[in-house]
Amino acid sequence: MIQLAPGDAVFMFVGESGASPEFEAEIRKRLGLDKSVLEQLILYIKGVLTGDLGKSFVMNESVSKIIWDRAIPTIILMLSSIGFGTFFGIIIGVYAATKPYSLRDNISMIVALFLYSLPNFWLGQMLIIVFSVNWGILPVSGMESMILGEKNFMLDRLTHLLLPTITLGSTLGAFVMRFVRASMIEALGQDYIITAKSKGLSDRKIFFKHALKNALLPVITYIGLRLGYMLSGAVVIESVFGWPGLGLLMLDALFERDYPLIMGLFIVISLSVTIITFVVDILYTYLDPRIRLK
Amino acid sequence: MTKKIINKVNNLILVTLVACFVISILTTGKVLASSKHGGALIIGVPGSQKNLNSAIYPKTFSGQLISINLFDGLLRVSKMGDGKLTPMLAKSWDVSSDGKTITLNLRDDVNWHDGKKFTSEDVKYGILNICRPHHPQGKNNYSIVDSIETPGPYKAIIKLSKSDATFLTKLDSKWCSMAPKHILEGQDIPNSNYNNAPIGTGPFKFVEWKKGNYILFERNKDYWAKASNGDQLPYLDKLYFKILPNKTSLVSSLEAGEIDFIHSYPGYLAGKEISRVNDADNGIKVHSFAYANMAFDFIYMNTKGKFTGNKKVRQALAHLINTDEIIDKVFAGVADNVRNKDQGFISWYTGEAPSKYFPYDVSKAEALLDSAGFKKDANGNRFKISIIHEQKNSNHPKVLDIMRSNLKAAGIELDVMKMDASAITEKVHKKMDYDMYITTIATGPDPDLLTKSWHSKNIGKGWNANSSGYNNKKIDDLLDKGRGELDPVKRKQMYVEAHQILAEDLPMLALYGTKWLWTYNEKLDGFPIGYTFRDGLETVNWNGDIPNNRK
Repeated sequence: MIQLAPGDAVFMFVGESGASPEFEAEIRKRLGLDKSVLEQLILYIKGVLTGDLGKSFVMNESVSKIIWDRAIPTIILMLSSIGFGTFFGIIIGVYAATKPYSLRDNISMIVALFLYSLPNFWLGQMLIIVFSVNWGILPVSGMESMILGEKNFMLDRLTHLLLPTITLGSTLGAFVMRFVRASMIEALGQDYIITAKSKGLSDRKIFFKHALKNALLPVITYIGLRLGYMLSGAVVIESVFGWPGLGLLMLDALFERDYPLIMGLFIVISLSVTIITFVVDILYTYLDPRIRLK
Repeated sequence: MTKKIINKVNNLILVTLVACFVISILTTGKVLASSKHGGALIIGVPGSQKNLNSAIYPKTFSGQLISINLFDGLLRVSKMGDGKLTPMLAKSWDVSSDGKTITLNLRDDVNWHDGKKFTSEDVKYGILNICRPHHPQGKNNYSIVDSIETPGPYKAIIKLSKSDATFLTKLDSKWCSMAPKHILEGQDIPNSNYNNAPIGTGPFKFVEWKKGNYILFERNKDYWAKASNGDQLPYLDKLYFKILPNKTSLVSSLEAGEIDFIHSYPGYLAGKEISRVNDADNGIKVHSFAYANMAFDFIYMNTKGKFTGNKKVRQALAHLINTDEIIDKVFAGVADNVRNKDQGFISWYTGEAPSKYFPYDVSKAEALLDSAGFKKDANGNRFKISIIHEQKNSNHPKVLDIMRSNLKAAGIELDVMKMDASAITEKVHKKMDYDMYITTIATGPDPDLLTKSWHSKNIGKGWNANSSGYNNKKIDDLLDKGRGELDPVKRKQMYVEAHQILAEDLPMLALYGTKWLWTYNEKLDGFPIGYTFRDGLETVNWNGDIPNNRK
């Protein structure tokens, strides 16, 4: 399928100054592109079954090593974005649900609507213009300062992480906000909440201990489903912020027709989403006694 | 008595000063260290890099910019685009009268970054075993090398099978930077780890490459070259190449002070952005450079195409494009209009414009189209034609917007198609399945470079080859003779004649001469601003004012 796209991987070795046909033929042979697509596919599948994802055409390194090296920045960005989105989503969602249809609820929901309507790349660019170019208080791109000087290592990493996290986490946060609000309103109308109120429990205890725990179940389902979208969102965010993760790697690999790397990335990302969905399913059994495995 | 005491004190002061000077020299060992030395430079480079071994794989402009700092060539083609050659690892050379023997006298004070001596064996090995088989242009450039003799460690004699007026330029590091025999002999070159962590003789040494993030080089303290004022080169202690994903990040990072320099390559700043960057009070300035129209944006016309196959249509299209409007609206004046003098685009070499040219004139275009048989229908339309452009160049979509309205005036509809370089190679340069294609190309420093684009033997032979499908035996003959002719007067006459024919046939149409931009922090000094990418950054310095975050 990838090879049906217009273009030729050999170009990446020839470069903009061109090459002789003999040189191109040699490169084609070296990369194994002189074989039929079916032969290439069979050889690739054989490799994958033995745990070998092949060697990148362009980077001349094992695909597994390249993916592993670049997965760490993406994992950091994903975790921080999920943490950011979930934390603020829950706080504002609960806050809005405490007084449905009040001013605070309406404002919260308008903010949520605004955040998930915004294209991520645009939000990222705006944040860069305001915080980095105009105010100069946060870095434009990358994961770390190359010359650390007197800066603190951890603080430097955190400042680099902040804008990509806000950009990637804002959409998730907006959805979580709406989910938590709806679930909380539903939970707060349940009989056990009335019982809790009649027992004289404080509002805080009722909201966070009784209502929220039950309201979180659909939120966890949603976050689990959302991870796949977040990985695709990471491609855009990483290219806006120059974050050296899997998203940027995927973009480079596509433009360079690096077939083994593209295939490797597809396999690893698909497997990750499947595993995460499975883990979320398992997590339910701990959170909801009604669906505990026997 | 008092005078004697004063004299004694003066002598004592003098002796003390001389002693201090001698001690300072002995302790530092650096007579040549000046206030310009020190500090780091952060350079923004677009896109990830693949390989740092310029001897086998330069690929992109930014790749050349990075790797050139690690390597030297035997000689260097002048950055001023005048075709002059300056000594590098070869301190002098001699060409025999028949042009078939080239004797190179090498420097004897050059070390590889691992401390080993650079010798003529490295020259022989580099050309025959690395550049010829592994550089994409190696077979074209060095197939005429019969043998290389090494009568001494610092003398190499290259024997050619036939004379080639351009051969010396092929010893520039763009085509063949020297490679260490003692490290590479016996290695599988394309798969060697050396390509990711090379050892050269250049002004900087490789330190670290964090993929997708940055590449770090440090100063080569034993570099052989000195500045014109005697300072030891290079000036900078460290070079960081920060990998940035796109042009927007490059410019934002520069404006925020995260990087200090964006090297020249076309299209990263559009015309109006240049004045915006220059007007902002952040110490960043854009320097534009154009030399003798040697880099053009031009249009390939498919001479086998349904419409562009007709010479009159090609000439009509040339008449229809309003280059002044393009330069004004897209480039805010930062480009040269070359339409009246350079339809065949080698006036910079021939010194004269061709007698036939096709400036902006809609009525002449309409007359040519009518006589070619493409008359307007009842709705005022003639035909629909397509043009391809590469997605990386941010100026071309705007240029084509103007061109679309220019062509519409004569009833021609322009269909604009955006593609990546790989797809363009396939569609334009190999299959020639297109009408027109707009691109940027360097046309010098020797006109022979364009043999690739005009000679019929190069039809369908890949990137920027003869992708117009232009086939003219007279042109083939002139180009072949031009390459072999060693007499510069006779040689120039051949290209003048070729230029006349090409300007009328228009297999390619030069639109405007692009200016190359060097954008950097104004505190920096010593940039090798010029047309080529063959100069390293050894002369760049902070001019004694190193910012705290670059120390």
